[in-house]
Amino acid sequence: MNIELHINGRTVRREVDDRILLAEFLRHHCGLTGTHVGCDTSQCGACTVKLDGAAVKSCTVLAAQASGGSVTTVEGLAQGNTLHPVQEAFVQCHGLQCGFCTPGMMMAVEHFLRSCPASLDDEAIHHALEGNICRCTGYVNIIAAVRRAAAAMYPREWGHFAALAGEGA
Amino acid sequence: MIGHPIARLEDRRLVLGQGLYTDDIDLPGQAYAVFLRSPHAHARITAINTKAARAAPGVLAVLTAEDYLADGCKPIRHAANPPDANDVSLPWFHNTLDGFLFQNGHMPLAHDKVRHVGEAVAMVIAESPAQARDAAELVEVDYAVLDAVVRADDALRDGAPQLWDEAPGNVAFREQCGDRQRARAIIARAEHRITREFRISRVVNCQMEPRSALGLYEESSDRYTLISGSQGVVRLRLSLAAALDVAPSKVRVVCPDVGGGFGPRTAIYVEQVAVAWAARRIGRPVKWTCDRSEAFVSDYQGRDQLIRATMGLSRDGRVLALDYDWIGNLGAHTVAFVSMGNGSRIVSSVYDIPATSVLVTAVLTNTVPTAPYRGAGRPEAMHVIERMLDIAARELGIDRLDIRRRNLIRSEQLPYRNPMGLTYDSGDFAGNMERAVELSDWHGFEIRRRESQARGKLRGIGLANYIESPVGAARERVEVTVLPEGIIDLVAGTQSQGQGHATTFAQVLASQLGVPMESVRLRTGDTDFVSAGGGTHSDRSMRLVGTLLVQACAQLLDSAEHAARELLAAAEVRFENGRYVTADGGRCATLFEVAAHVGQHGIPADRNVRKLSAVGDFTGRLPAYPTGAAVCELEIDPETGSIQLLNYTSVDDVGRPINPLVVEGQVHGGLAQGIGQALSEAYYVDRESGQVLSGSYMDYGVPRAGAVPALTIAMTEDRTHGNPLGVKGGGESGITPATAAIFNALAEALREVTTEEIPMPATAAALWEILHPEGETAQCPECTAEYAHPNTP
Amino acid sequence: MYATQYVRPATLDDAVALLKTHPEARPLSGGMTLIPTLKQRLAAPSHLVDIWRLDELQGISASEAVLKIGAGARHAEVAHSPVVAQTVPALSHLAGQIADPQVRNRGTLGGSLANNDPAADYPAAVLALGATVHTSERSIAADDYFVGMFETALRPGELIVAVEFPIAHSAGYLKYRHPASGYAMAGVFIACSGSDVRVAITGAGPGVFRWKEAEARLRDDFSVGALRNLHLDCAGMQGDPHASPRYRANLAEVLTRRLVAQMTPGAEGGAPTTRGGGPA
Repeated sequence: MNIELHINGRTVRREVDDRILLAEFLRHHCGLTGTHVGCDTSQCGACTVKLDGAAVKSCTVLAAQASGGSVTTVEGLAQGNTLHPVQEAFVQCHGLQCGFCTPGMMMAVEHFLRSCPASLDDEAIHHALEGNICRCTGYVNIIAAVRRAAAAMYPREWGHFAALAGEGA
Repeated sequence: MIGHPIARLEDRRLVLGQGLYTDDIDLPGQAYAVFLRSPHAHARITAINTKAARAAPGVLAVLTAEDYLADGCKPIRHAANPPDANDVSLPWFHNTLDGFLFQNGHMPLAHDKVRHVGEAVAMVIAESPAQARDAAELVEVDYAVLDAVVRADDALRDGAPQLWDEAPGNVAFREQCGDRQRARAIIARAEHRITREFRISRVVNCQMEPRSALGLYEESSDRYTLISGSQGVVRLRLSLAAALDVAPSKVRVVCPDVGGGFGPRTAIYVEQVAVAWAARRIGRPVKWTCDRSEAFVSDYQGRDQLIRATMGLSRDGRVLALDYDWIGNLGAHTVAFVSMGNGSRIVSSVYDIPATSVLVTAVLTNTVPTAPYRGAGRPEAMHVIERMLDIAARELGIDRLDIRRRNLIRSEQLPYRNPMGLTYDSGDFAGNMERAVELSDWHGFEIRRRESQARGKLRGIGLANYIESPVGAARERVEVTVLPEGIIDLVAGTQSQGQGHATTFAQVLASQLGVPMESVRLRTGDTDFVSAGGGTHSDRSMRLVGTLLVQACAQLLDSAEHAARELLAAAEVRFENGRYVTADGGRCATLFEVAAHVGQHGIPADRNVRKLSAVGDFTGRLPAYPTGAAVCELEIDPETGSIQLLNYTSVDDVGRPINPLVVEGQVHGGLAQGIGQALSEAYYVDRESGQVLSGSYMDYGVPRAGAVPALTIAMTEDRTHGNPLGVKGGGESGITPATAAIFNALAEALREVTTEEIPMPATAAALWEILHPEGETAQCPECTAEYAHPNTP
Repeated sequence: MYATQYVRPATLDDAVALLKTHPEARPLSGGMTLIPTLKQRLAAPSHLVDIWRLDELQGISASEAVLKIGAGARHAEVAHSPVVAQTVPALSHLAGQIADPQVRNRGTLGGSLANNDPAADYPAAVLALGATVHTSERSIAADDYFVGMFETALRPGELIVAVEFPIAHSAGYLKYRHPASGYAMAGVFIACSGSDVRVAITGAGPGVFRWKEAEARLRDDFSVGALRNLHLDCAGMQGDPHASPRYRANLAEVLTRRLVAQMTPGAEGGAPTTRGGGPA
């Protein structure tokens, strides 16, 4: 069937098999391999993208279901050469090691921070990251990266976290 | 630059989504492979009918073991027996009982017999993955199901199902390490004895990137290429060439970005061999990517060691001897003996124990093969000794810290040769322990325990000292070349899967050569330019590469100096901050300018050499012993069995940390894996049938955010003198003491309830059953037998 | 997954017609259950009829006595809806704990109820609140809706349109999460309306059920003390390598007590549920 999607600001039209997953569509039909597939039971979150403004697991959505909508992938986070505050925070806080879970993790974090969070305590962040698995970092620096990104995005409310770099829980 | 917590250079491209992992790579004309896998743990293959599958739409080939052998390919011979810890010319296990040591040939597609659920039986190659999957369902395999055996101790019993005719009793080998008679004699005379059985659970690697392999064959050059994530290309090339029965020069192995290794991606996999073979056979590139459920029955798995330990002590808690039976579950194939080897040499840990004996028995069972998994034997060894010390303390009425103090190796005893022949050159064992005690507020615990009790909770605190004996492949090689365009080109035989080598090696080079870190370009992962090296595992990379970089840079600067003198027309120059300066300070040349000069004129010693470069190449051992101590405090909710980790203290001596940010990240990750094994990673396999009951993330609890509690890390540094940078290795510190510290805390929390070993993983359900034994509440006869924790005796 | 045909009807009537015309077709809502099922090749529908965007299934509204939630309401919507928060906050709390944020952005009330996973959360709310399930054909009372494991009273081609929840005067939900899947190993929903008390338990048995003995005790005396020495018979509870039947029965008992404690004003309560274990 004919899929039309607005992906990272560009309109893409392709003729594909009805059963193709959004993740596969992005990776193998649009050349956007930044979104990764890490499991087959919708548990790991490595495939997380933004679909019509909400973070979803692209391995559990058919491209057909998404068709007509708007997708942002990790490749769409940066503005030109400027990293998104979430990307910058992950780099500064050593929030990635092998990098495989990272795109999906950052998309989940970006969703959490789409509006100023009411709480950045451990419980709130754990809850926000419940859909994402990382095997390398133990999450300690990822949690620090969330706080640091919030500080950059909402300096008035969360600016006091700005100094975080590589700090643990 | 060394010692600075610098953000990683490689991260920008990764966060931009520009990482290139194997499945991201598509080659023109590629076909897709799917493997049909055995649903049985043990069976004879009586027939395979591929006719319908071969006729299915889009199918290019349906291949079996017969095809593989008919093409002249050979079973894989894993390098299961690593080089010895001290003398690399010897294999680790070189004194087996009766000289018997069985290593099987591992067929990429099962031949005649399947020996574990998930073993590949046929390979379907088609134009699309969906077509390959559709066709795979049409392959008919007739099996004659055989009895299966899952546990190592079950496999050793008389009458157990036999996996390999050449391995009677399912024993691949037995080797006695240490003097058993002496240890037993001492134990017999000892005033106190403890005997305990420890079942260290099996774990599934769960690296985030599912395995993937892309094979191609070029007729014109008669060369195979394998593109596949791994932990090192050199070893894979040798294994692959041997399996394909060609010279290594006919094989190229490429490793792009790797999404996690942790040990099980060091050895070659059947799928990697199969895609290379199939590519030649069908004349097109062949690509395969593992599903996660598939990974649960095909990725090499970790741990699964059964250790029966006896300790003899004096009445005042001095440990006099250890005598272990260490039974390692190899799974269905002899992939690696590493864990049993590493573990058995370090059983005495940081304690001054005069006599140790370990009888290692390597057992084959109808389970997925095991391979080294982060720590590989050392976490198991730490678990046993630390648990035994807590048990001894309790039985003898000695404080848990005191019993350790009485046994710790003292600084004056360094260098200390442990009873298994490993010599610790440095380490402030007592100091590390005291620091952990202080940072964890160990002495304030009793007050906190009562406060928990008032809330109806059981609180426990546990400590574990640890020492690591990183070994790994014996050879490593680096090539450092200064390029006139301002690049330091570094080729190394290691393979980062997230350890940050592009940054940490750059830090070393920057410090040695006075160049900006950003000028360093690390190249690994392609046998076309990596001619030798051991890959990355067992904490080896910085220890070996760092050492070679220091040596190579010294050589390089020596060469460069001669050229600089020529370039600057000066009799004497000095090197400072990356440039050569004349004696009067009037003229200078950067290393890159010197390289340009060499490019034009050659080096003074040999004008044919037009590159400013140096090679470091080493085969041998550079031993180092990372060490430290960990304390875990936790609380149990007796009503649900739920465990909450409250805080964790980690004191780690990695020698000199090149990048503390990176090292701490390694501690975090290793700790999370240790917590996972201790509390939630339950790989359940039916004991009778071998059926895998935990076959996905729905059942297997990998830790999620929040798994690691409030954490205090203190790096202490007692530099080793065994290598010029004083590096011990930071990759496995977090994991090595973790299960020991957690289980000691659990045992302490449950001290009024049980003195028996708590099963691993200590899930809430398992703890609850301990707290509420059958008969206490409503009777439920089916429960006890049928739902007993699979890892209980 | 097996080959299939995707269709996106514009109206509910079109959707129902498609399902009637193609008996092997399946409705596709959020897809959080169906897509993984298809990926495992456990089903091979001829068509996937996408009902996720149908206007007729959207909307959250409340009257004096009833909270009405469209079958297409996503869990995230329910969790953040001011209307739900003002009328049945226990439902906001429940919805906010289903799976994870990404799943909550897609999964729907209708999808969850149509599937009736024995460890899903919504069935406990629907049963405890005595809700009414409105379908494209009729209205079904909660007590009649849940038939068995993954089985409901829905007929082939019948779609849930909305669920009406009586607004209880107090309600609560407490869940103990499976450490791997995040599903309920036991989840308890208690609703009090007038003198009536209903206790629905999910996760522990082969399907959601009401714990009638607990209801009887709590009707007389809504307190933790009223539940003393009351045990849930473990016969019929789910058992697997992770947890025995009697452990699940125990979890259900403990959660019921703790929820009652939380819902009892002034009395000592339990803490809110936390990840990977359940109530602290």
